[in-house]
Amino acid sequence: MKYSVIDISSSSISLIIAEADERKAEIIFKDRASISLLHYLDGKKLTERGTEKLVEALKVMRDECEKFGVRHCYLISTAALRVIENCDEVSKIVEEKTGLPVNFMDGKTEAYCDYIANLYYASYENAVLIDLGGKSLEICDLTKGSKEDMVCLDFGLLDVHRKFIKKIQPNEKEAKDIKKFVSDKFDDADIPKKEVFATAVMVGATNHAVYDIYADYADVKSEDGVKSIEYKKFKKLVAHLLGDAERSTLILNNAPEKLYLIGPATIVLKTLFKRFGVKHILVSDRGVKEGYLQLVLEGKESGMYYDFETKTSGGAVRETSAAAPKSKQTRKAVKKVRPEEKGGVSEEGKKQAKTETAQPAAPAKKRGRPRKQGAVPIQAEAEPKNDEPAPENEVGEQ
Amino acid sequence: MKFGILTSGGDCSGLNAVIRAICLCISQNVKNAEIVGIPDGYGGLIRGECFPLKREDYEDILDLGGTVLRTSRQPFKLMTVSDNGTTRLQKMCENYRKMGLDCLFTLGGAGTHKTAALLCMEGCNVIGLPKTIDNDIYGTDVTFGFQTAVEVATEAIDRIRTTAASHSRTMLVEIMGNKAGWLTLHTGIAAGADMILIPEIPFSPEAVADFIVKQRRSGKTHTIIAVAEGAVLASEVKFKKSERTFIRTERGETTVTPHLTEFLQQSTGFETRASVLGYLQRGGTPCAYDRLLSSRLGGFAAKLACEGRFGVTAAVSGNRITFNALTEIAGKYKLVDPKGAIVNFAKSIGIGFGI
Repeated sequence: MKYSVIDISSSSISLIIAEADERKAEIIFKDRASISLLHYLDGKKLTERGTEKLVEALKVMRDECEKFGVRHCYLISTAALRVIENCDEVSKIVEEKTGLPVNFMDGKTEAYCDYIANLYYASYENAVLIDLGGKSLEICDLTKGSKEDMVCLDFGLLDVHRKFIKKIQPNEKEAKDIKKFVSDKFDDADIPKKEVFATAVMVGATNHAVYDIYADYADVKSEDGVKSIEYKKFKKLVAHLLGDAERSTLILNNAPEKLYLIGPATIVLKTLFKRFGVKHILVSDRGVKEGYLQLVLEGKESGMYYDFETKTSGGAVRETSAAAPKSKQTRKAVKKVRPEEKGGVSEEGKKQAKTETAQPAAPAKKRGRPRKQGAVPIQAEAEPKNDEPAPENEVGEQ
Repeated sequence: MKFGILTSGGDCSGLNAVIRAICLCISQNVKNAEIVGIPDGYGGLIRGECFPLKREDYEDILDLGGTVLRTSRQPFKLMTVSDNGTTRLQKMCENYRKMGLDCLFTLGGAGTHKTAALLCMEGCNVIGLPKTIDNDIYGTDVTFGFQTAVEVATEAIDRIRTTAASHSRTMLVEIMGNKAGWLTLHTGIAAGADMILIPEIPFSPEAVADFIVKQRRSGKTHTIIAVAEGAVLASEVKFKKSERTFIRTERGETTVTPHLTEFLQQSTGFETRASVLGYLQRGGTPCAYDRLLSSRLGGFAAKLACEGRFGVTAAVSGNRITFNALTEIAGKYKLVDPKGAIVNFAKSIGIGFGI
C-alpha cells in the first residue's frame, strides 16, 4: 500500500510518497513547492491570497498522490500554520478544497519525528541532530537514544529575525547580538558545550537550503550522495552573507523562499558548531515526514488522513491537533520530551532500525528545486564509526 | 510617501497605461504623495536619476505605446559584479535611499523581476508589475502587452496569408519568443496557421515537410507556419544554448527560420518564403484588453503600496487581480505545457507541431 505525507512549513510545502509493506516503507517520490507564507500575512492572519496559494500547491501534491496510487495521505503542519491567528479558518478551507485534514504537530513531536527518521546517525561519533524551524529549534542528542535528551527550544529563526534584524539580511552588529542571544538560550537549556558532540547532523528544509547555498558558495558537490560541510568554509560563508555584494544573488539562486531565514540560520548553526566543537558536519535528507510516516506505520502516532479509495478522511485526530489552533497558550522556554509522553524507541528497536534501513533503496524521483540525494557521513578530519550509506529512501520498519 | 516608478527591459504596449493607473490611484488616495519617474529602467536607478511625475505627465498616456520613462536592458548577472569597488546593486540601493523612496514600482519581465527580488532582499520596498509580450512570467495567467502583440502578429499573418494563397506558397512567419512560445501559439491559433513551432516542442524539419506535402495532396494550396524565434530542431536539443548559438552563427543565422525555409523549399519543391515580424510586435498603441488589464494591475499595485505590502508582484489568477511574492517567482518562467489543454486543442483542429 502506498502512503504519502505532506508537510506545510513556513516557506515550502513538501511531499513524500512511500510504498509500504509489513516491515518497512520505501520512498518512491519526493516533491517540494516554494510558498513563502510570510509574504501572505496580514498581521498574524493568513490572507485570502495566502490561503489560495496554499490550496493551489496542496492540490498539485494531492494530484501527484493520486497519480502514484496513494491510498492514505497525511497532511501535517508544524508551527507554520499553528501560529497564525486564523489557523482554524485556514485548515477548514484547506480540508474543504482539497479533502486533506490538517494534523497539527507540536515541537516535541516534530523533534521526535526527526529523531526517528535519523536513528541511523546514532552510529556516528557522538552525533547531535539539529533542525532549525521558523518558530522552534530542535536539538536531539543521538548518543543517548532517549526522547528525554531531545530539546525543543521555543524560539525559531523568524523570531530571531524579528527581534534583531532591521532589514532583511543581518549585518555584523546584528549577527553578534543574535550569537549572544542564542548562546544564552542554549545555556539556559543546558545544551552541552565542547567535547560532547563530534558529529552534527543537519535536518529540515532550512538546513538543506543552507547546504545548497554552502555548496554553491564553496563549489562543492556531494560525492556518492554524501553531503558534508567543512567548518572553515562554512565560517567564510557566514562572513560572506553578512555583507558581500553577492550574498543576495547567492540566496536568490539557491533558496529564495528562505530569504528571511538563511541569515539567522547560518549564525545559529555557526554558534552551535563552535559550541559543540564538532569534527563532522553532515546533512540528512530524512526529516519530520519520514519519521512521522514510520511512527504511523508502527502504530505509535495517530493522525487524520485522506483515503483516495473511499474519497473520505479517516484516522484519528491527533491529541495535539485539537489543541493546536489554540496557539495563544503559553509555552515554556525549554521543553524536554518525556519518554512517557510517547512510546520511546528501545535499544533493540534502534539497532533493528539501523540494520533495516541501512540498505540503500532506488533513488526517489524528484521535482522542483533539486535536492542532492543521500546523506552519509563525511569525512572531515577523522573516520566516522560507520561508513555504510545512509538509508535515504527508506522509512524504518514495522 | 515618495514613490518611484521605472520600466525595464524590452518595451511593450501597456507600460504607459500602468504608469498612469499607478499615478492616478496614488494621487487620489495618498495625501501629499510624491511620485518620481526613474529614466532608462535600472540604468537610471544606478545613476541616481529621477524626475517628478506631474499630472500632465501621465494623464493622457493611456493609449500611448512604449514608455514615457524610457527603458534599458540591465542584465541580472551584472548586478553584483564589482566595478571600482561598488556593484550596480549597491549603487541602486544607495540611490533608492538617497532619493528617499518609500516604494519602488518596477515594470518589467522575468529578468526585471529577478533584479527586483535582489533589491527587495537588500531592504528596498519593491512592487513588481508583469510586463512582457512573451507572457512567460511565472505565477500570472497573463502579462500586459501580450494581447496587443497577439493582435498585431495575427493581423500580420492575415495579411501574409493573402500573398501565400495568391502565390501558392509556404510562408514561415517568425514571431518573438525565445524561451516561451505563448505568443506564437496564441497567434498561430488566432490567425489560423497550419503549423506552430515553439521552443517547448522541438520539431523535426522532415516532419514539417511531410505535413506540407500531405496538405497539398489533400487540396490545400498554401501553408502558413508560425515559428517562434526560439524554436529548436529536435536534433539541437542535446546542445547547450551557447553551442546552438555558435552553430547557427557559423551558418550566418540567429534563428532556425532561414535554415528551415531553405530545407522546405528544397525538400517539398513548393515555393517557400519567410517573414520576420520583429519589432512590429512590441510597439504601438495597446489594444483595449491591455489598456484595461494595465489599468487594473497599476491600480492594484498602488493599493498594495498603500497597504505597505512590498516584495510582491501584481498578477492575474483566474480572472482576478492578485499578487505573488517576488522571491517565489524570481528566476522562474511560465512555459507552454506540450501536453496542456491549449496545445491539445490546437492538435484537435489539425494544427501541426512538427513532430
